[in-house]
Amino acid sequence: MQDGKLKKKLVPWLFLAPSLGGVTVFMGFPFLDVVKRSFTDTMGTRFTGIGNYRAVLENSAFQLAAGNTMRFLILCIPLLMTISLGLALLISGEAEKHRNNGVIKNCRTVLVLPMAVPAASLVLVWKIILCRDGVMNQMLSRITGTLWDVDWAFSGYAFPVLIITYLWKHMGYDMILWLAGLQGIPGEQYEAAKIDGAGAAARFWYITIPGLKGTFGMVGILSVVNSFRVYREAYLLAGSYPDSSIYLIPHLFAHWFLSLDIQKMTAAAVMMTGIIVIPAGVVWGIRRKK
Amino acid sequence: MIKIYRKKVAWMLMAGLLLGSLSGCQKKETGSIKGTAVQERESRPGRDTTMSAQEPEESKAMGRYSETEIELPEEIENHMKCGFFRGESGNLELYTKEGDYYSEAISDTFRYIYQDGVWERDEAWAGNDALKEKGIDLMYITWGMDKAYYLGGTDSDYRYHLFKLEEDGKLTEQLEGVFEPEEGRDYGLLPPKFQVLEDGKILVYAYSEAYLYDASGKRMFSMAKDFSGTTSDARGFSEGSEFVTVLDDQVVRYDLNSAKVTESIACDEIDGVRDSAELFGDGAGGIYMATETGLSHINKGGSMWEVLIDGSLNHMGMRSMYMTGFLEGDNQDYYGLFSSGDAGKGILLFHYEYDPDMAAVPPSSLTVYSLKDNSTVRQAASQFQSEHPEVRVEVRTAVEDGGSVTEEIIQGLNTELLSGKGADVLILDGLPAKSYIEKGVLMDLSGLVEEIESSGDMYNRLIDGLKESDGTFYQVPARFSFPLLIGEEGTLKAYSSLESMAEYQGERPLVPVENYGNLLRLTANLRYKELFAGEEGLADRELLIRYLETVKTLGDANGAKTIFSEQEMEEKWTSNYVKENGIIDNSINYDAGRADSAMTEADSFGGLGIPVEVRRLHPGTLIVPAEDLYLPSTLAAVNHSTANEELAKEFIRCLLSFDVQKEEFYDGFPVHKKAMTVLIEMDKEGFSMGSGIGDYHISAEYPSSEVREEIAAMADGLAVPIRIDQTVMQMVEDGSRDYFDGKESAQQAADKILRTMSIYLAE
Repeated sequence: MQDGKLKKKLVPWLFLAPSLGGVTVFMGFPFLDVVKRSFTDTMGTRFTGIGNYRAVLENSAFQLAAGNTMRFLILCIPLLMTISLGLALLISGEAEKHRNNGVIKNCRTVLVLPMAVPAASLVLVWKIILCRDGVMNQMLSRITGTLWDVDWAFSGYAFPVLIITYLWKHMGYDMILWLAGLQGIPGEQYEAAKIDGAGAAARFWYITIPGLKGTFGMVGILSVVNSFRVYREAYLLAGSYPDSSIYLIPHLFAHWFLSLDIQKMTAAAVMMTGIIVIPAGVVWGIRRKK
Repeated sequence: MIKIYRKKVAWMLMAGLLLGSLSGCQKKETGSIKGTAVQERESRPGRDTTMSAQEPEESKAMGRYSETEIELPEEIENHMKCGFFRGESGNLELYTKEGDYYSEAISDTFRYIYQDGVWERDEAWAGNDALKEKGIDLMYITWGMDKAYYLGGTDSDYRYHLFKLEEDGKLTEQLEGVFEPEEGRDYGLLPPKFQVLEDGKILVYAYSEAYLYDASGKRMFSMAKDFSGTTSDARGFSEGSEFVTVLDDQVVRYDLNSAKVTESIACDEIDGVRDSAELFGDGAGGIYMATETGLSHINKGGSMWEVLIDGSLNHMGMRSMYMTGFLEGDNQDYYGLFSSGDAGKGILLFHYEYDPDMAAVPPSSLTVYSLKDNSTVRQAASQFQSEHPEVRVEVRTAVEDGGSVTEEIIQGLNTELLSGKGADVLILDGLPAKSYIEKGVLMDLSGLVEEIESSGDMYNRLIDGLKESDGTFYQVPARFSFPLLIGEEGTLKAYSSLESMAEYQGERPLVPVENYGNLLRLTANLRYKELFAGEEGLADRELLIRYLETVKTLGDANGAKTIFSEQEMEEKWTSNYVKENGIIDNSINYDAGRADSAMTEADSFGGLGIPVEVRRLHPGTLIVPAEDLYLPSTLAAVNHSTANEELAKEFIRCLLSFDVQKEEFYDGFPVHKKAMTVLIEMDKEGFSMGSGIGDYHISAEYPSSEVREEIAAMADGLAVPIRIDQTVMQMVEDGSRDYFDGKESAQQAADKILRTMSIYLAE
């Protein structure tokens, strides 16, 4: 009996072991070194206490980058989750109605396609559209009848441009996740609700939303993780020193690494990890208590 | 039961897979061998064939080829080599001549034979008189496979003639008419090399082809080969019925009966090496290849090259050396002939003998890191190794020729530095030196600098320019260049401030036309003190606006653009290329009356031929340095984490030593005064250069010793190193483009630049 219990407890850990081992060796231990370095000078020879943390917090470039990153997260994550959920509902509903419609089937592929295209190629297209002599200005000039001469990627418009780029690229992926979640909700519940006279809004609110509870967390985490990758697009679109509105944490980290400001970088990395891990831990704890 | 059995099998398979994948990562114990070279040759005397010159340091393998210089007769110091081979008696024979190749006068030629460790001049050699009698200036001599000497040279009309030296001392012309110019051409074929085969056929090397003639002079066929780019290219040899040469960067064998390629052998060493590769046979169908990387060998039918001599450990890899011959001795030893001076002069001969008691790999090693290939550093590495055979100097270059430095490269270096595994010596050109100094990555070299400066041999002011505010030194320049202004005295006064540059009212523009990238950069360099001396530098808004407006004024006057079209580039004699300091030699624009002044970056005497000629052509024109500014380069520093502090410092001493500094690589002037004197006094007669666009052409001689002295004297007045942050410069260039294109005001451009710059400065 006891053997059975032990086995039950052990098996999940055995399955987790390869991944956990990799994460511990390749991320956990290096992160411990990062924490250690955050309290020393660049070459790790002198203990500096919280001096590096103070320097980072007082650094105006960090303040700008952290502000922009947070602004980006606060705006993008809800937008991305809402739009992709909307699309998933639309597609799943339409697919239900028109089971044999090829267009609906291909829709999923088309929306996921931006994920498969390399960022460098995508950015090249964006540049052609957004540069001064690009498609966007030409189109707007034709429509409005006045000359548009905006450098979309290097002006105040850079932030919305980056948001659109991010949404366009990740929308399809999130939509697929939502679709998977939607498929997990038993169809009988909707049928029973319909019979009971529940409208579309009531069904969404009382069946879909509670049914997608588990998916919310996963989509949210993956969206946040993916949002950090937007640096690649920002870098390729506007270079290492872009318009100040799209100057993000990864820009700063890249520059600090170039100038060997490893002490600032490690301190900032520890703080950023704290910002992400602590709330996630709190949420996890609350959920476990429940 | 079966279920349990299956489970067990599954577990075993998983365990096997895991072990297999882990063992796949294990480091192999077999000897690591660089490039394509592996051991495949039979054992040498006392040599462990499982070891190679590239084995890890821990290996105790013994045996390596050592290099010793063989003294040549003093009288040939200024001679040129015409032939080097093992002749009739099997002894080494060296043929030289006085004067230059293609000289109008008929030079005296000499024959030297190496016997019992001594070179002796063969006074009885009949060749010299025979050539004089025929009026031929010797260019090449060889020992034919038919056991006779053959000589090739030019007559007074530059027509090539090939002769057989008969036993009675007379010359019999071969291949008559073959070298006559074709119709409509002024010159005929001037082969750098020929070979006479056993059956009397003659193999004549042209640039991208080799021709086989029968004894009657009838061309049998031609065989394609690569052209290295120099007229002295003679890579190849014939042995038996084969001709071995280089084609499409591969070593190929031609069958001399059919003129068809019978074998192509891939060879990494050929690709990218300088043109002085030598190919020769081993008498058994195998091929030797000597290049700056060393001597390699391949057996007949083999596919792998064996590295016999590592060129990086001796003079073979020295940048100032040009290999002109390589021969096999009798005891698996080799002889390498090199030229260390201009036009094949300065002949040096080295003997390579296998030493079984010498460690296969030098027990100590020193790593030198440089972003780009640097000839002075390479020269120092070879010099250092020849002086310290127990040390191997590994020069690591991050970017291949023509490549660009990316952020990833510097990040890679930073990772190494942080882990304490970086190179011992860092060449800081292009690296974030200021940051490295601030972060304690570099070692304080104050003591070393004091020692070097106390010798009195150096341009101390140029070294002192790199002194930090606290009096310490972290970097030492091994080369320097400086901006030179060309124009009349009154005009050049305009360069005294941004204001006077902008206000200049002359007949023509002050500065020749350039793209705005270069105009910005050259102005920043010429007005370095005005723009960067203040606390804020270009972060001062008013100063930045003034700077941008000055550049715009200069550009409006000379027709500058941010990007030129093909047609504009042709018309304006300019390009879209942006140089880091913006100073591109535009003295021809001044000569052609397109601007009232011009500028150039003085980095070598050879590079100043045209500006000096322009000055000569325009009386009243001056060539003056831009204030006391100079551009330090080949900045050597020592990694603070090095375990080889003394060796690293010794390498820097070597880098600044007379022997290294006296070599001219066109990468900057020496910081060593005596080396500069050598370059001033060097005989450069006959050297000429030219430049032209469309119908315009100008040619010039190498600057005379007097002019060289005048230019070198300018170095005494230089004191302020130009050290512009290239990130800031790029920000200014990017941010000002719209202003120069007329799309925004200077104020708007400045604000845009300052927004970006403030982030950079805050970081």
